[in-house]
Amino acid sequence: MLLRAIWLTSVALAALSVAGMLLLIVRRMILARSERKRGQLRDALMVRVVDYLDGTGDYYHLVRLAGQHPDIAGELIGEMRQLVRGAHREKLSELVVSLGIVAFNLKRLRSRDARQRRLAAAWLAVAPGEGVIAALEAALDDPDYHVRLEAVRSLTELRAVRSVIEIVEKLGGEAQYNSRVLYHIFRQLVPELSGQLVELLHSGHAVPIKVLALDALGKSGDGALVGPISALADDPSEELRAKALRSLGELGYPDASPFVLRALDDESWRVRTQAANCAGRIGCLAAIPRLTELLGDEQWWVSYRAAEALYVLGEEGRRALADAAARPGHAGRVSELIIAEKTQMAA
Amino acid sequence: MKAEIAQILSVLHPVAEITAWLVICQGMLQSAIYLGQLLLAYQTLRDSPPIRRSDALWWDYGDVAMPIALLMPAYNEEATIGESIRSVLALQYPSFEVIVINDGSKDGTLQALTAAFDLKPVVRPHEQAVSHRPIRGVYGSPRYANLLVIDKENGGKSDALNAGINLSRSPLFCAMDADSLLEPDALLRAVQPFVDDPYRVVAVGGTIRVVNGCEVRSGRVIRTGLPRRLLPLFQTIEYLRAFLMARLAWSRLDALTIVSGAFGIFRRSIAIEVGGYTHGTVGEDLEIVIKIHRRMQEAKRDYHIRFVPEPVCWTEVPESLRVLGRQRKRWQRGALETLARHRDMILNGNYGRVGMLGLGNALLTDAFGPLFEVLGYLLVPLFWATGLLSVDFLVAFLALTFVFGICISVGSLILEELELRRFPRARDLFILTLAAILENFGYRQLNNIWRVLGFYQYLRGKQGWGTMTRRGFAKKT
Repeated sequence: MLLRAIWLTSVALAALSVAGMLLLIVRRMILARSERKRGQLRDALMVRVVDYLDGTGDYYHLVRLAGQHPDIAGELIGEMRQLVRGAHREKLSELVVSLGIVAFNLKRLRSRDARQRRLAAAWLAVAPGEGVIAALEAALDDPDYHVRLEAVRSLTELRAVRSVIEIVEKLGGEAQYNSRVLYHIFRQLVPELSGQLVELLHSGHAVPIKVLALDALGKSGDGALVGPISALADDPSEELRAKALRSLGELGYPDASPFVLRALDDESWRVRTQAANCAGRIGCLAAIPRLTELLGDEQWWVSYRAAEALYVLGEEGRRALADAAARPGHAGRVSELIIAEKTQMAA
Repeated sequence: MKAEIAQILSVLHPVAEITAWLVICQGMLQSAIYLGQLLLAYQTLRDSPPIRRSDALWWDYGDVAMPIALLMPAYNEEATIGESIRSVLALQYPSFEVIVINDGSKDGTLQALTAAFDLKPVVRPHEQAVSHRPIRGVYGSPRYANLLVIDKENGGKSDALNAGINLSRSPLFCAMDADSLLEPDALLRAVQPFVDDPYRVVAVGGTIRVVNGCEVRSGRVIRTGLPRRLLPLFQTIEYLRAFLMARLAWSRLDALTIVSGAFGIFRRSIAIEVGGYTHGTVGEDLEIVIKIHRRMQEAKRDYHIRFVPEPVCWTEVPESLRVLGRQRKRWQRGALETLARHRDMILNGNYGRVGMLGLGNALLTDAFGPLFEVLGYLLVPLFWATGLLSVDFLVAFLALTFVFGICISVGSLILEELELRRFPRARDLFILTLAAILENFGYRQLNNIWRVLGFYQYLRGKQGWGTMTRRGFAKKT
């Protein structure tokens, strides 16, 4: 009985393996043929679309070709739309509507297959219009995180995000807010929604969300934001204090000096590192004495950034650095190395 | 005399039965694990977002991908180092630095580098975060601002990587072999888990594929092909099983215990926290991952070590039995060294899934698996010859073992074909299927014997790497 079961299992597994591989090989041959056809269709479509843009093409032939494979047409026109500007871009936007590609993707956005929904949500970024925006907003409630993320990305590209807080809440759990992809999205929300981003800073939302807002605001170049960002000086979160200093450094306004001077004494070495970096970037000459002290900080990155900051703080800073380099010990060694490195880079 | 033989056989009978059952149970458990891995890997690939094109990745990740330092330890790589570095310098990634560590090469590696990149001595302030042998000089290239060469005293791969960690300034570093080839978008793909979950992901591994049989030009694989020789062909199947099935499954379970030394990205701060790479070990890639697990589990920190199937690193595999045998014995020694050093973590619930599943599996398949299988090879025919084992059962079990092995290999091929489709021709699939069948007759047994010999070398305390003889990429078509 046992022997028979063993043999039957062996035969079944062998048959399964052989059948599986045969099926795959056949499938591969079919796919290769279909991909060749898709490639030919794509080439033909490209010629028709270019002719259409030049006003010389046969529109009905184009409609017929695109209707056979709206996914290929959508992919192709989406790519072409990224390469062109002005009137041609507008024409392509009209074309995707008239060829039914928008309708195809709106339908695909309701597919049961999450992969199809993700592709549709990503594609719809090329198709401005109220219907598309409404569908993307509805996709923010999709059970699949990647569909929601693609919907947010597309809404951002279409400049159709109405509420930052809404997209943050709809995206989901705290861990997912940490995604650096969101940095890219949040940066695109400035300047239209910078007021909402400032509100986020002082809301009860989790630290990673505030970090996202701080990052975006730091890229805005808007000096009026120094105040709201500096208000995080006493935040209990080390990460927020450090990120706020980084953003102030990126803004580059000297108004941030009082906050930076205080942060140079922070108990966290990460915050001190960012403070030293920021002092250099905003040209905070008042920080020179404290930066000179920080050359001897036990954390290597603090002393390194302090030395770098002194080097960029003009003649006075470089003099302090040269004086420190003449002294023995860790501070002297770091100063000496930074001077050598910067001199070599300048050469 | 007959009575004596009968007496011996009567004593041997229960021994034969117990041994047979031990071998069978071990084999069945291992098979069940493989089956589980296959299903998990399939599920993971199905749940992954669609694979994006390189330009789409650049669009999405270009602004937010963290800077990476590529650490390339080089020892006696005079002939190929220039081409390898040129290929790495041309990678598509927004911000990266290549740090080549010449680990006291005895040939003209440093001279070749100096000539190829016009190297000049530079000053590089750095922290002494992890220990390594003294640095003799640091060089930069006026032509490539993102190339740094460290010349140091010989200390082995771990030591060289530690020097690279100290001199790197990026939040992430990628440990790779100087003779491996990365696909142009490999970093962009491998960094995705760090970008998607920057606080928790501490290490990411990518797929290693066999370059033998591929066409390589200027350090790039321009046509994927299969090796023409049997030995590398069998290794192609092995690599598919190991990466596409096993690592993907363990990554899903959060119990991945190894990130390949040929291509792995680590968070620099975490590597420093665990003291960098351990000196004097031949399995430094396994060792650092287990150290990271230990550190994070003991501190009860939320973290992930991920495997991503799509970023590909190509490596040349041995084509001779002698070199392959040496490599497999070394791998076995490395695995045993690390398992012995961290034995308190194995099957220890305090270390979560890593202790119970990841290391439990390593104990079963890496430490005991080859021993049991070789024991089976030796004892089962002996017991059969002495009439203690039924020939019908022997043949049936052998058939089942082989067929199951084939089934698992075919399963990996199916995963590859359904999700990645890296082999360009249908004919390749057919050849790989044949290889998946053939490897069970001779190659598999040889592999287990090498691993048992590795076990023996470990017990005798053998150290060192031996020499890997490479044919070089230039002639590879």
